[in-house]
Amino acid sequence: MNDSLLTFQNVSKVFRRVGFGFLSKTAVQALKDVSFSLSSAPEVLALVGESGSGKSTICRLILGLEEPTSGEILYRGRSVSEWLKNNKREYIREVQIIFQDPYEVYNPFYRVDRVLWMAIKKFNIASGDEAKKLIYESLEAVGLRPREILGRYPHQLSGGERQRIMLSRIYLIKPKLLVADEPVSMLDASLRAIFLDHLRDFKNLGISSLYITHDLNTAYYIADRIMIIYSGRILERGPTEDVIKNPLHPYTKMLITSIPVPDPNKRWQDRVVIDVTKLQKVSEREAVSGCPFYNRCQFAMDRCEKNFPSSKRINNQEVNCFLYE
Amino acid sequence: MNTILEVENLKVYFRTILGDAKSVDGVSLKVFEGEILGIAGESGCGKSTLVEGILKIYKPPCYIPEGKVYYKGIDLLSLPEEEFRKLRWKELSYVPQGSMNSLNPVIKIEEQMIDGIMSHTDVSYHEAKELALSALNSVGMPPDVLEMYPHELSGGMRQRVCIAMSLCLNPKIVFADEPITGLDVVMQKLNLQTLGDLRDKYGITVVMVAHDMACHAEICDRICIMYAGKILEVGSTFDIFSEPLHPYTKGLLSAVPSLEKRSLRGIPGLAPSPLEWPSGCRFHPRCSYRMKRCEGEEPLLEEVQPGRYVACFLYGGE
Repeated sequence: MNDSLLTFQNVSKVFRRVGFGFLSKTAVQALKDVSFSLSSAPEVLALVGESGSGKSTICRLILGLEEPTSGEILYRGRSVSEWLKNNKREYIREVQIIFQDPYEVYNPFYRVDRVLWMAIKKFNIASGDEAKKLIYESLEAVGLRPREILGRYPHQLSGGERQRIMLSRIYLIKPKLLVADEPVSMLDASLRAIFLDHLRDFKNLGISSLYITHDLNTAYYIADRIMIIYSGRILERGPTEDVIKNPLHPYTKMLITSIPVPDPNKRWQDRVVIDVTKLQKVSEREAVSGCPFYNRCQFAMDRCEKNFPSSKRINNQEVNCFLYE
Repeated sequence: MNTILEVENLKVYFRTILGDAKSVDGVSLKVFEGEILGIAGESGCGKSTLVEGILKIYKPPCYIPEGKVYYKGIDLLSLPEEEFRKLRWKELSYVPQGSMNSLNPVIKIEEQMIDGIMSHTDVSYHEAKELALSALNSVGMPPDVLEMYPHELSGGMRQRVCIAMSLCLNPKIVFADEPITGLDVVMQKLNLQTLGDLRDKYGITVVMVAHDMACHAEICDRICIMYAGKILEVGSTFDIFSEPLHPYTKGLLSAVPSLEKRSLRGIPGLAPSPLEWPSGCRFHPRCSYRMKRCEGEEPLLEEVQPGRYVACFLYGGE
């Protein structure tokens, strides 16, 4: 495993919260036993899951904003906490993030140039004229015209432009790992494609990306590999084409059949059947020891309730489901 | 097909210190009885504002400089507010954008639904509860939801409560603004199918505003494509998807990601600002088929085939 860039080894994260009313303690298991790795050869790995599945927790763990409750996160063979203690600057230069909301990341009082200049200054990338040249180059690399962008304030730019400036910042810093947390969910369809193309091009610069999303469509478009996460557990993973064309886990299958196809000749033939009684009380959703999808799975067996299946390799894919044991 | 709602050259502007923001700038459209009409377009194209204009639920600095909206022959915009209020909910109802987050977290669903009903009609509490129950039933929700607080329901379920609320007084038209945005895919499917049921089972006309073309493909009968405050193309869902005419519609469709094909093409350029729409055809700065005259003249929305309208000089548009 030495040649991997980022490795999650049986990482679990529990958020404890002291109850307000009855002073009861509740624990939310955000991640359970998550293991995966990104190889050092540049790739785009998509982490797909619905809201509350633990995608953002993974993102926060990588950035060192949270500590795992158990398990280890290794970046280039050393644990993230060690990196942050001894080589913090190096680590944050090599691991960068693009957030979902291009409106919140800018300080409205400063011109947008600042995010680029700060990056250059903080990481001693260049100085003087060379720095200016780099900024121009990085903006052009993501399809923006520097003349129209530099010197403007964030509110004068559209969401798509702002998000692309974030991309140009990545181009400038050239990290080894980019964590993109739902970067296109707030962009319009027409701009989404352009943004994703640039993100994919980063692979040629030697940047690996962890593309976190709820949208299987865009993951299919840019990712080399896909991981499906549900309720803190990774249920299926494999090369993109295999996972999409031949999903194994019942959850992945359900996701794929639920996505509307932009073709009126291929409308849904089936209907969603949801047992409302099981879904009603979100607040009562407890930590389950078995498969988190148990409640909604049409193939649920008795043992699914108590035990979580170990991962089983089928061709190129890995799936955690008793159906394949 | 009977026309149930007709919009004529509707303009909805916002007063700003920089001049008027012309969010909706001359929209004419017809809604037929018993259809599901989709209004598609990117953010900022005026699709939500159009619905707010039709229902007259805007607040200053928004105003309507001109335009007419006829509902079954009644001129809605010239109705006094008290009269219009009687039509809202009973005839025309509305599921606003993000409505699942608009429920009051400390009040039970029952009270919130009944409060709405009693403020629009003259019924007793008991009758109102009956109405609420039958509305919940029509979106497939169990009656015990009434006893719950909003936080006990997931986002998708709350959204369905909001759809149910819009149905309480048996409206003829339901306007749903981005009804499935922010939901998980399974919930999206469920809620889209619920909207489809409104028409299929109860004969309610549905106008759905959504930016996602794939949802339109799923349930709509007809689609209006909006861009920069104008309608660029109208047609049946099948026609629009099989043969998009307007260059913008073509671009929009090729920018929709799908699991069917692994290709995606965006539309270069940026959406214009409502403070200063481009001259001539509003799409011309981003259009790859642009001609000289597109810069100066504005093409009109013309019927090119029966029921198919497009505003582009490539197809006439004189």
